[in-house]
Amino acid sequence: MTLELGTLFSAAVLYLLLLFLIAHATERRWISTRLTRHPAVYVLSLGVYATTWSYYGSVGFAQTQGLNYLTIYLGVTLAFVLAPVLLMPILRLTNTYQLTSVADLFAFRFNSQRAGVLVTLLMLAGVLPYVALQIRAVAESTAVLAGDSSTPLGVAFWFTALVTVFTIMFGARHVSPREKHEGLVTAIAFESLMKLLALALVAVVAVWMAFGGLGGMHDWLRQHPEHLEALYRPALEGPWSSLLVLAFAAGFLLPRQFQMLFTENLQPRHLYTASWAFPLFLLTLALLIPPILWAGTAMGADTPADYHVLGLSLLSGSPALAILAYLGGISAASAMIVVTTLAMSSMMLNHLVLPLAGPRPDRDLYGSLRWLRRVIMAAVIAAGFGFYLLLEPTGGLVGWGLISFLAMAQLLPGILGLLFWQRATAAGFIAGLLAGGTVWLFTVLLPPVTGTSAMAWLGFTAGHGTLAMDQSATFWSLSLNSLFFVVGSLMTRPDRQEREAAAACRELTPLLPAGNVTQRSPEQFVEQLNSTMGPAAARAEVEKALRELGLGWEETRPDRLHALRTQIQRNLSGMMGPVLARMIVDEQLQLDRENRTALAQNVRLIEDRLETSQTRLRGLAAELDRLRRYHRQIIENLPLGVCAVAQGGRLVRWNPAMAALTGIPGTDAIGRQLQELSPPWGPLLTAFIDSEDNHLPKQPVETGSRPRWYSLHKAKVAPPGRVRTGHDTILLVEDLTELQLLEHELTHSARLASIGRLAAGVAHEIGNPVTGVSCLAQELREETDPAIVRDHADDILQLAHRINSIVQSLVRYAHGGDPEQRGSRPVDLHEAVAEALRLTMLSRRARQLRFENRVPVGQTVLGDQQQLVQVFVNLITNAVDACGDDGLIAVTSRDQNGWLEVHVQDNGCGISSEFMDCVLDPFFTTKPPGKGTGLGLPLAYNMIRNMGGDLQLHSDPRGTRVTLTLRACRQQQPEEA
Amino acid sequence: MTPPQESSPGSYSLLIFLFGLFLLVSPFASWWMGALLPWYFPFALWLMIIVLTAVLARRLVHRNDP
Repeated sequence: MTLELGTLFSAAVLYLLLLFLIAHATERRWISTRLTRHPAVYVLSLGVYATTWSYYGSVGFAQTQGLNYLTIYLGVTLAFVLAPVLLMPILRLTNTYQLTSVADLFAFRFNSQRAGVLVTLLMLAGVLPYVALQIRAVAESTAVLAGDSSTPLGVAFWFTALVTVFTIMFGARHVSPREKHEGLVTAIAFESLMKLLALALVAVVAVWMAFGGLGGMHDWLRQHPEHLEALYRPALEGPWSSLLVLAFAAGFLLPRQFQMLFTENLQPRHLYTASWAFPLFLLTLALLIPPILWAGTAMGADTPADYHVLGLSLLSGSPALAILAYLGGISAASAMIVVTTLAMSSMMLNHLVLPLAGPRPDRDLYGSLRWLRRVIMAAVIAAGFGFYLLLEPTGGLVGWGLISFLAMAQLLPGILGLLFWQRATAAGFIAGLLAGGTVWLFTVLLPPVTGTSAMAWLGFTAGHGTLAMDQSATFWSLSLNSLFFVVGSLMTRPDRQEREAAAACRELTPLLPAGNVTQRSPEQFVEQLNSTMGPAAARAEVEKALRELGLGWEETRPDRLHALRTQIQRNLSGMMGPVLARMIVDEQLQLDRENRTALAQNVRLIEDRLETSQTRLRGLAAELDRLRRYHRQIIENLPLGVCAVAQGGRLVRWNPAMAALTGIPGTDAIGRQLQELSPPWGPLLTAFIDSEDNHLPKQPVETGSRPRWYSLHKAKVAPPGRVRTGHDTILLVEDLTELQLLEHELTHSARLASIGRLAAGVAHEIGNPVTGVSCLAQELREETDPAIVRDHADDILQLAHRINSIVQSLVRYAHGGDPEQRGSRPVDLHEAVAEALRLTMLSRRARQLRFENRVPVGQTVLGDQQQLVQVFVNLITNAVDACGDDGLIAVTSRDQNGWLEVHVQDNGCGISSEFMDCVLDPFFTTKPPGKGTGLGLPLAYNMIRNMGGDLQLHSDPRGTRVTLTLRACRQQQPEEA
Repeated sequence: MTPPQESSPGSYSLLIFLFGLFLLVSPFASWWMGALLPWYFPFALWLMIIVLTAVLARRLVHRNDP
């Protein structure tokens, strides 16, 4: 049975159109993202590894090399086993630094454009035979099914053209290859499914036709043990180990594998799923190969073993099965070409084209990049077609594939150095790659083209295309590569940027920022990038980076601007490659390296790094991290507001309590200058940090509708390390509003209580003038002499004035005053003492004693008038209670270096020494019940402390002296009374 | 007292890798290649490596889930 060429061509075209539809439907979201972003799609997309080599060529490979055909899958399995230590670090690197290809990865690690160029050239030379292999397989498979022995060049051409269109349509949609090609990935996953289903169907049908089932196949094998021996023996004798090494490298270094594994990865955890699911996919594919081979042998299929899949489907007599098998091959070939081309286009753009013709500000950057990528894609596929025409179509399909595998394997020493050897240098890598690449070129690539081996002196006596030669080439190329890599690295020293990149690749903490960005706002970033990228692209890139970081255009904080710079560099790296991106950013967005940032300013950066590497910390580092978290949690959970200010005045810590107190979230505060905070906090904290005081008690602060009181404390913090260049500052803010309000109420109550005690005296004091007024009024009723009437009226007025004076004193005293108006103001000390004496004299007991106000007139202190009077009332009342009938109470003052010492001295009985320690405790009193509240002295003490002063007691049996220390006010010169 | 540190996923994957090398490139591999065992025997070894990797991957996915 044969099929019409037209039928095959139509089937292939329709199939490719179906792929177009799947990709388009995915990108248009016609297919649910739950399906297209499922880990199974990611795993199946990795099936791009299985090309026509696997689909068709494995049967031929198994026929000649037995179990050696398994190495191509087993090597990949071993690479995926190492996913946590090999693949995941690469994925983290590519995600973090927006690396799109294996060339980007090496260029980033070695900070070398040359390394990128060399890897790109090697990749290009390596993949072209592989692309050619796919075109050849499609052409030959068409020939097999059509029964035409001559290779239909037209089919090869049209297949190439269709795949080129598909690649350009779905591979060059985005400016940056870092943007995911979800449509393409879904289409590739569908193709993998197609390959597997087609191969499985052919295998089942073939076994059923040849043996009547699996039991029959086992019986056949028992009767023909030579086939089992032919399967096992080559593995013992052949290049089993070297093929394992090649497949190990190819599993993640082939451009198409790198693209699907790392660049198109949507969720890092999908990689863990792929670490077992992808080898399982390969196992299923590989498991089908021996039954197909033996069925072909048993049935005497007349096709070459490479095309037994097609031959057996023809033998089944089912055109549908034949077409399905054919489409499986088309899937394998098209998927490989599309993804390889996509990967190569970004490599070539970043490392061959852009370094020669960088971005120009007068051109549309994004449009140019898109068109360049399209042209490169078409050029790569065309070059693959050229190779197909150039290479000898002899030998198995596997031979061409191994050329590519060995090229990729040359990156193996480099990738191990990249991940595990920090001392590796660009010079060593380039030397190794040149050495290994040269051996590969002359022993593996050129012989199929020229027909001769140029390196027979190395022991390559076997003909080209044989596995023995590949084994020798593998050994020699990798040995020389590794030797030159190690020696070259040891003989050279990495520069600073290379060391930084090496640390990043080894997941060690990279160096901290070496200085602040010289630009002061995102707008200045745009202005700087204009000259390289053009205004539109510069603005778009800055805007994109701002959006990704959650920042606004008004941002000015240096650490955020530094993060913006890093983000722009990463985004440009995804678009133009790491070397060019670094070059643009280093030139246009320079760092002020003279002005190095202090450790405190990098706290956020360090914490971010520790957060992201938390699960990777081990041993002592993990313990230290736990300790750090514990200490940080203490600060975060403190009921006090805590903020840390770096030397330059920038906030580096702002705990939740601080955010609650101030209403300013930590995200807004951290990184800002202290004075940039909104009032009242900015001015208040700035003034406090500039002052010499380490404590500022009970500061009234206007926040919203009601005043609040805060106590501020500060402490200097020396940064760790030997070099002490200055100090950071820790500020503590304590909310005392509730306490303050309670204290006000208590003070007011105590004041009212003392008025109550004065009530009898008040009645007496008012009673006398009232009696006088009454008498005078009676006399006035009878008096007619105008002069006497006037005298009486004057007397009445005097008496009324006296009553009014008493009442006013009481009212002033009783009134708590407006707490909002309180604060330290100049208070006339003499007048305050006089007022207190007037009030105290209202008491009957006090009128029997002598009082002396010896405070100089005009002497002023800083404090609160109302509170100071209350303090004196409390102290004088206590003194009155302590004195006998001949008691003398004197109030004196003394200037003491900017402070005034005020003494309230009595000659009473004194305070017993056993009570001295308790008299300042609230509610402690030595007076009989009902005579005292025990609050007078403690309240006086608190009020004096609130004014920034002090209160001390000295007592002996001859009397008690209370010493108040108050801040003197220098506005007026004191006069002696 | 701090509990003992859990082994890193890397160390488990290295152990599986070494086990894989033992199965595939060691005198043991030479033995099973020469013993003419049933044709599916290499696939059973391969499946064993995959199962071990799947167990490790399952732990890693759970560990890295928020």
